[in-house]
Amino acid sequence: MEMRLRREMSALSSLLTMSEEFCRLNGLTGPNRETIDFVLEELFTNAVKYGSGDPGEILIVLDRRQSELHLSVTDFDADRFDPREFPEVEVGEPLDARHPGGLGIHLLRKLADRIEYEHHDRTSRITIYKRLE
Amino acid sequence: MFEIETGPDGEILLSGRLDATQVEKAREVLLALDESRTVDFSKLEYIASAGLGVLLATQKMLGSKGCSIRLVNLNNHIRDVLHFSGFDQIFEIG
Repeated sequence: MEMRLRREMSALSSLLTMSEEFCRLNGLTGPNRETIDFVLEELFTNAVKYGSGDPGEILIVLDRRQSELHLSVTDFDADRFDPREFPEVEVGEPLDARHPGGLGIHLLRKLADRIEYEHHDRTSRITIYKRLE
Repeated sequence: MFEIETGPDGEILLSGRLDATQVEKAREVLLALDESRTVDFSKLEYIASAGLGVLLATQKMLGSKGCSIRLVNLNNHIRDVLHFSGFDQIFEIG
């Protein structure tokens, strides 16, 4: 399943509707669905927040291959951002020192089994691989 | 769809899916708290990182007043997400 969305926060509802339909067609419920939503929402909102600012398109591709999910988000006008290189969030710090920034990418890495990243000619593609629970 | 309301004993009841499109609803209620409360997750299916940010901001705000929120009845996915975030060290989770 694939969909092209405008790079703007108002398109998030369409993304989550697409995810719901993908899960329904593939019989995915519970933690599998929550993980898919979390991954897609995080990658898409990051693309909007840190993207070029122009009203470009984001390509979302969702694929189930037997017991593994492949979820990819492609931004066609983006600086390089490899989530695998993002600094670790210090989750053991006391409340006073905690900040929400970076938590989404931190969790994305925890939830994914494998992450691939490509960047060339300002096209940035993040692919998440996740075995079904 | 996401709903947030106050229960009969003053507990905060969350239901549905707390994604980034719904997070302002949660922010309005939680950041207006001025005393310790229990937040009941029993009908909450999903929370995005934007929702985690509101929980953290609420705990920091209340902490400055010597108060806190306590999180109860989390499903396994949300419990895992909070654990990976280290929130089980800065929230009481029942």
